[in-house]
Amino acid sequence: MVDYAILLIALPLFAAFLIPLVAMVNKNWPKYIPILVTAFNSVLSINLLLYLNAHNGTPFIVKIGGFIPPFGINLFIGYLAIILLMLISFVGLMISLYTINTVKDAESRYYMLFILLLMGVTGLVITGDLFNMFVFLEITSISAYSLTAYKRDGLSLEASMKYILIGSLASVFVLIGIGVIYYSTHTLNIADISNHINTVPKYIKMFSLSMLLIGLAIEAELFPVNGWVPDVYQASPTPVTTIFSSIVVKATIYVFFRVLFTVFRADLTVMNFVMGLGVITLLIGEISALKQVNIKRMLAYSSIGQVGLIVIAISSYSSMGVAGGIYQMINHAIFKGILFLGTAYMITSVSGTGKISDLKGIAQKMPISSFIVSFSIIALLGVPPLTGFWAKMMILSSVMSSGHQIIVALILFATVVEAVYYLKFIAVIYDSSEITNSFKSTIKFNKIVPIVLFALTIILFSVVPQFLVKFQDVLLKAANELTNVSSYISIVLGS
Amino acid sequence: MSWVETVYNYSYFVGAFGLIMIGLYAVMVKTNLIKILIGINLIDVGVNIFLVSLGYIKGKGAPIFSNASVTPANSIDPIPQALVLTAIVIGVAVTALSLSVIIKLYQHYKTLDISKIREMRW
Repeated sequence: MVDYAILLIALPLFAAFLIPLVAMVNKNWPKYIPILVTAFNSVLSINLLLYLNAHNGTPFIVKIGGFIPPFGINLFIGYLAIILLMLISFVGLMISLYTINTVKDAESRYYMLFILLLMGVTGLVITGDLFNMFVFLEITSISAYSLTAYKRDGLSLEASMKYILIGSLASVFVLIGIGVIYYSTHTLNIADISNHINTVPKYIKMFSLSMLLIGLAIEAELFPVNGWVPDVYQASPTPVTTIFSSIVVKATIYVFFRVLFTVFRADLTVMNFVMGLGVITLLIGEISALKQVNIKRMLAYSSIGQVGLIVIAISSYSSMGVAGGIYQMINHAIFKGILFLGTAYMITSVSGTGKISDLKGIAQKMPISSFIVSFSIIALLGVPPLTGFWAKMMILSSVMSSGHQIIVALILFATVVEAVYYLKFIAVIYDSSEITNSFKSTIKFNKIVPIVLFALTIILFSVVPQFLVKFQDVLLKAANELTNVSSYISIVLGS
Repeated sequence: MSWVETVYNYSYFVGAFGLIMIGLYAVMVKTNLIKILIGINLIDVGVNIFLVSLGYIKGKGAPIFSNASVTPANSIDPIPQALVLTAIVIGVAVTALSLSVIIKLYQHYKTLDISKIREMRW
């Protein structure tokens, strides 16, 4: 059996609270613990993938404490969960490698919060219980608040305060929604709620749906409630920003759609509304990114835009569209990993406050990093045959076939806007004039290695066609797990 | 008389809703960070009362089964109370964290007025 899957959550939790003790023994040891934990989780998720392949790809559940659902909490693990788990542990591993010499005066509590953040996100993507999901959401948010304030300067404290205020409101909305659902279905198990949701009176259903929609939209960075995103991304330490952009948003988008699709069995009206939110998020994000001078802020707005694209894709509800959305999640996690880590590596080599103009002509001094950053930008923009192209192709064709031509046009327009500011950025770093900024050479292998490994994954996803065919099959199965409610219920509750 | 009875029967909901509204007012209107935090705490308390009252059934007691006279038929639903315990713990953590951030903000800017703390846009 696969009861050891619970170690995905239990081991990071144990390691996180072990760190203060380890720090008492030796101050240099805590920084290696995140590497060990994420490496262990990577191996475990690959192991689960092999198990899943050996069992025809049917998702399985893990009963915690032996309680049979719907009475206990169960974990639900299928291809989608495993894709997200591998993403979390891989990106987490890269970032913990990068962090070793990066975060200034990194103390043991930084590593503790970092592991707790990863643990919360891991729990979000595999849990099958609505209240458990809320608890993991709160673990993620609280560690995110404190990591945002980690630098303890004015900017980061202010961003953290803003994040705490809006995050507490989000959790209140989510909690009210969950309470109302519990009151009307008398269960918290997602599959069991889904079984009973059609017996709930319509206005109660609409009330709890809108409560959860607002609460989760705040966490998933959707349009009217994403004002905190640029400030938090700009103010937190770069490895933390990378985690937010690559992983935390992806997990909250997954939760958002799990609640919409499975818990509420949302109909076409709701999905069209969410698609509209996605379109506005995409346009606002990309257009605001145009006028930014700070690199992290520009990348933050670009992240918001990409979130919009993923939400459009998944809310199209067709299997191809959802698969494209999941593919874009993977792509975006890797691209933003390179962009945030790569530009931060460049910024640490020059003086300045992180403006784009500080990096003028940096390519003459740092050819490898500049090349990889530009390569990932080109892949992100969707130049064939790189991996970003395939994801955008899937999304556009599915949106087209669902009859929203105007949305296709808007996505293409947003891509053009995206191309404008990213190509401008490439032009700045490849500027051939003499460098005016002071430059100190600091070649650090632990910073280059993660960036290079990220770039290798892009190539792996782009140019190995054999891999692509199998991969598309996996993506379609993952999409099916998200949208097919009746199979979810029969797997959890038994038929 | 009937509307008085209705309000009386749903007094927990009315109270919870009132607390949430007072809290929302404080969060939206006040500019002092401590007052905003108190507003958030009021919202939390309102939501907790709301959840507990969802599980409350008039005239029934706590489901403590070591007492032989208690049967499932005459006890209330205990799960919302378990949820509220968790929610209270989370609320305490968030309050403690935000108070420490507020202390640091005060040391940095010498003010608690969010309209004066403006390195970024609020």
